Amino acid sequence: MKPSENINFPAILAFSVHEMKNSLSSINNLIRHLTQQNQLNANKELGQLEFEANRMNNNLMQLLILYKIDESKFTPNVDECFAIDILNAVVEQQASLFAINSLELTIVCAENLICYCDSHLIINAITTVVNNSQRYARTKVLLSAVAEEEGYVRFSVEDDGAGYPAHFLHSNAMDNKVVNLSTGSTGLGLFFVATIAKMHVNGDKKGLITLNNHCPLGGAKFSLLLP
Amino acid sequence: MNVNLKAYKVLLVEDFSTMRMSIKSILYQAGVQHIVEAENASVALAAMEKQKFDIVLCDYNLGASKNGQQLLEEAKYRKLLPYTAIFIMVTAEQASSMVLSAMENKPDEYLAKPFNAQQLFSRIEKQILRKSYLNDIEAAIDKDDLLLAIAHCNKLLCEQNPKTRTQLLKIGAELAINVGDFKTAQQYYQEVLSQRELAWAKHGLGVIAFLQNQFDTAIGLFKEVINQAPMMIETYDWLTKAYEAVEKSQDAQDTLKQAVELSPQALVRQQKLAVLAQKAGNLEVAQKAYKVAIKLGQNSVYTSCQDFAGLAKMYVKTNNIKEAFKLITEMRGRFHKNAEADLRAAHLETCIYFGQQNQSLTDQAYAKIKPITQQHNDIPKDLLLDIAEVHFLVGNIEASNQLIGDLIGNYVDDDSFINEIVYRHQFFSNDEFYADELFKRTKLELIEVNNKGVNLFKQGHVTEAFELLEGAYNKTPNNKFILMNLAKILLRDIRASGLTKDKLLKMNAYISKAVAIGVSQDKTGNIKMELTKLTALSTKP
Repeated sequence: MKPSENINFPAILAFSVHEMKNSLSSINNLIRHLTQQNQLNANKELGQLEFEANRMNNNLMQLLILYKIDESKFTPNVDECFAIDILNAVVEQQASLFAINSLELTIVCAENLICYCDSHLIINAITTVVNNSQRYARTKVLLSAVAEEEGYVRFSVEDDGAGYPAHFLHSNAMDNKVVNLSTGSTGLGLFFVATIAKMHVNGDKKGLITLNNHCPLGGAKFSLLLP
Repeated sequence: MNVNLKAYKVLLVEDFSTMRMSIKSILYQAGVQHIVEAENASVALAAMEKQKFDIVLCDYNLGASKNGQQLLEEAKYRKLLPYTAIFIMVTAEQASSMVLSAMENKPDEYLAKPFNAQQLFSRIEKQILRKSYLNDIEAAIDKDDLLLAIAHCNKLLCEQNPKTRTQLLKIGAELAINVGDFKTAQQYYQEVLSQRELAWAKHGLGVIAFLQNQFDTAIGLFKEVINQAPMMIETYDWLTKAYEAVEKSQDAQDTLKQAVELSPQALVRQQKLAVLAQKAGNLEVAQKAYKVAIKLGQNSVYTSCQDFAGLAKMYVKTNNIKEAFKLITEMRGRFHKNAEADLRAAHLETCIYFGQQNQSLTDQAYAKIKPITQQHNDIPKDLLLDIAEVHFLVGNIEASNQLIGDLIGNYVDDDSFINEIVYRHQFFSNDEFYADELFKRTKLELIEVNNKGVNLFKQGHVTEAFELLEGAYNKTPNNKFILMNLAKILLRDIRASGLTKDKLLKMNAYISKAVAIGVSQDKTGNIKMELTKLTALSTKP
């Protein structure tokens, strides 16, 4: 008998995630305390710390959801949502980090714009993108949602950084080429968001993501379109 | 945060002390002054007994004993949570949350770890606003005044607020179903579906079809829902019921098995699977489900001695007497001074000793049965059928026939249980016809009594009609048909000649009895609604 036959991997994964999330909660709490004590100083290092903690959290969550999708144990729980609530939830998660890093985070969205989606998943997906965007933004990030043709809702994250590198724009996030583990530029986050987008279906329409550098702010523009 | 939390009482349930400290400091920061901490579910329940909390913030993982979901179930079951309270479940992963629970025991919010102050406050604020917006409706539901709840819901719907419309249609449809107004419920769900194919609205249409006995339509709809949203766990429960109604027991079992795989923590579902599989002779599935149910039952208010007895019975059948005795002992330990458990134990012991041909121990065990059945009138029907079998086994044919007669009288309109009685009786008595003939005779008598009662009532002999049906009711108090007709006659009598305190008491007793013996909610709801209307009329000057 192989030793691994005794290992219940899903249970270990769930347990480990729980433990790590507790640790991350403690880390976030410590960062908050340190930030309060350090009010007057620039908190570059603390900002970096919180950014990394967020990234770990996003990666854990992606790991777990992608694992379940792979095991065919996962489908989105679609309900009526308001786009503004989704964007607000993203800002709540990211606001303190933007403040530490002295970046501006703005929302543009109509109050009554309805979208049909699994709100928890979409919040997680957009949060992942926004968290990454502050690595590249110089002064600001713009979050928006608008109604598009054919019933789609477009969520966008735009920044005033240098824009996406060419190899990102030319590759399709849905094929696994973006997840290039050997170069270190993994794009796993985008792969995750694209996977989640594709799982949102309405009739024969599917969700998708687009990346380009046609952005009024001058940087990268990420869009998530939900049918 | 616009809401002032100063006056809010918060219960914080978390087993990890560092986490508790960190959440506490977040709460203090928000101006909360009253925080009670609990490191596990029993401490939390004890605190909830002592005082009512406005907000419960509870981690799903609480170490070895009860988890957050079981805590929520028990708090709701014991009515320790006021309807105004906000229950927030803190989970390590967001994605699993939706399969944690059945519909009726969902927390108000899920919050994934790690969370910051802003995330926590905005959830609390959102729930406070939601609860205050829906307060009139929820207060009426809490007082069981569905008619008032519907009136409040209609009032809000008339405001045509696009932000709340779907939410109100969902609540309105559920209320309408509960008072038997299927037309309105259907209309509401269809309005939602005209915007988008949402799984819960389609599920609602399936429930309506089921309640109107359109089982094939219901099955079709439920299958569509599961296909579209395989995580809609309650749809599996309804599909199981629908398959049972059309006697497709293998499909029922398969459906329930899928639900159990999705949500293995749900005790009630495991219990049902065990019973279904046992009936279908699928012993392996049944045994596994019983074992899981017994384990989960350790921490749940839904624990039942039937799980122990069911598994013990399987051991008796396979002649594994040692394991059977072990379970009987465990059952006695877990259900101390519980008549049903004592009766199940006595029944099992009688069977075992009889099988071992030990006359004196058989007599001893058998002697315990009679006093319990005489003193208690709330013994489950499956157990009574077991008892009837044991009476026969030890040669007490008269007692057996008496009990079979009672059961047939009480459950004459429950086709699947009647089939079970007939089948079991044929098996243990070797008499192919007795139970079936008794059933047919009883059914005729019942129809006769009922028709006679209704005719008397129509001719204006209200008292006689009522007495006749009341007599039948006293003889077979679990007969849904008689009980509901009795209630309807009383209702018409109240409408014709006014409400008295005595009639109101009787009416309420019938309604509670109907709920207790499982008359469907739309039917009892309808009678409740009529009664509320009449009460309102009679209290007007």
